[in-house]
Amino acid sequence: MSAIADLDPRRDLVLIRERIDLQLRVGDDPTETVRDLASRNPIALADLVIGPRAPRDPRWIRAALESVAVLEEALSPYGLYRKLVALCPELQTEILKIAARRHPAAGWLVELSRAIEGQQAGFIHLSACSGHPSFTQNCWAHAAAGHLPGLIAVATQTGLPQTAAALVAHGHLDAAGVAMVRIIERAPDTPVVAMVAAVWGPDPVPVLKKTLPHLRSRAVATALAQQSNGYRDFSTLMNTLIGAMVQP
Amino acid sequence: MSPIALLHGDPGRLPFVGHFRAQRTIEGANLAASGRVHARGDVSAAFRIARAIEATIRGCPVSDGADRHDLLSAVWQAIHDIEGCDLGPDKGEDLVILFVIGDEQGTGIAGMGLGGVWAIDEQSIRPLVEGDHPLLGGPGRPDRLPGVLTLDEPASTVVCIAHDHPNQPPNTTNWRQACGVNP
Repeated sequence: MSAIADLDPRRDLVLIRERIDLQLRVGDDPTETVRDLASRNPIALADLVIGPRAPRDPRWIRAALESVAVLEEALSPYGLYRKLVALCPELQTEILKIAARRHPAAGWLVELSRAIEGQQAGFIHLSACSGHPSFTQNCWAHAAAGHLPGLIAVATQTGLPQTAAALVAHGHLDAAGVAMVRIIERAPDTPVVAMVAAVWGPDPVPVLKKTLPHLRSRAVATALAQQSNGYRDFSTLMNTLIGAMVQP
Repeated sequence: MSPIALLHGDPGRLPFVGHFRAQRTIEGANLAASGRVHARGDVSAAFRIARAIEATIRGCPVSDGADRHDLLSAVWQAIHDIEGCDLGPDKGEDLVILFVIGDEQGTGIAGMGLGGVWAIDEQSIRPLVEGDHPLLGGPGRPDRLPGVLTLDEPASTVVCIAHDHPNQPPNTTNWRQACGVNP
């Protein structure tokens, strides 16, 4: 139940703030209060969520995230999500997931990802947009920012070849080699060699060779060999390697 | 020394979709080819077709004693003989290809779907054809190539752009990478 149903957000902001503080202090769920404010006065809600005297209680921020569309009407998305993360670092992963889901093509997610995910930057954003048309551009943006472990993690999870292609496009060939192997492990028929050639040029053998230290199973090596059988010397090398592999 | 033929990459994130490159050496003559096919289509299919064209260039029969012109004719005939359905939905009508052929008598260039052709070395980039030269034109696989331009001076590396590119010379600083030649 809203704790401020009897108050006017345009006039009673001080009282509203006190009621919210009380509600949080006694452990009541503030969700209805947020909804009430969102429906009546988005500007007041924005002030109470990200204003200078906004409560930093995670329950309040979590409730506010349910009305994030209303908050976005009052503040630019980048500013809003950055502020929410600053107010409540405990919820930063959740906040990033929501931001990535709502703004999959936004360039500022690259920087926000770095701030939140550190070494794994890009994983949440790219996982959220893997079915979105912006996925390729986002892979390129994260590769340009040097988010190699994040891209490899996405390659492992999704098996999408754009991850490896983006790494190649930005000269991260060792990471691309790892990503290619992970992609084939996940989805052996994914045309990762074709995608890499589309970025690198018609002779991607130097990139293909970067996969060799990461090949562990004959099945993956065979799938890679099948994809690269247009490159005679590399095929010969792969066949030798496959013949020497123990693990099926 | 074998000549090098390079096709400049296309604009965008995937500049080399359907690009191919192959060399063929017989006794006394060399052929270098570079091109693209099905470049606006599926990446995987374009890759497969490109590799098939490379294999055709490398493996087609060439008669003993052939000179550079015979070599070019044999290679073009072999490309022409590929079933259209094996070259993608456009049946090879989107084929862009540059040939550089050389022997002791000289060097020549030929091709289809070219928008500009330059000779490149460490010091300079010079256009080999200009204006409405017959070497420049649309893509495809006619029965016979429109002709061979014999070069006045030998060129070790010849770079072309496709007919659907803006007709600008390759960048002097990064032309190798722009043609998919990486260190």
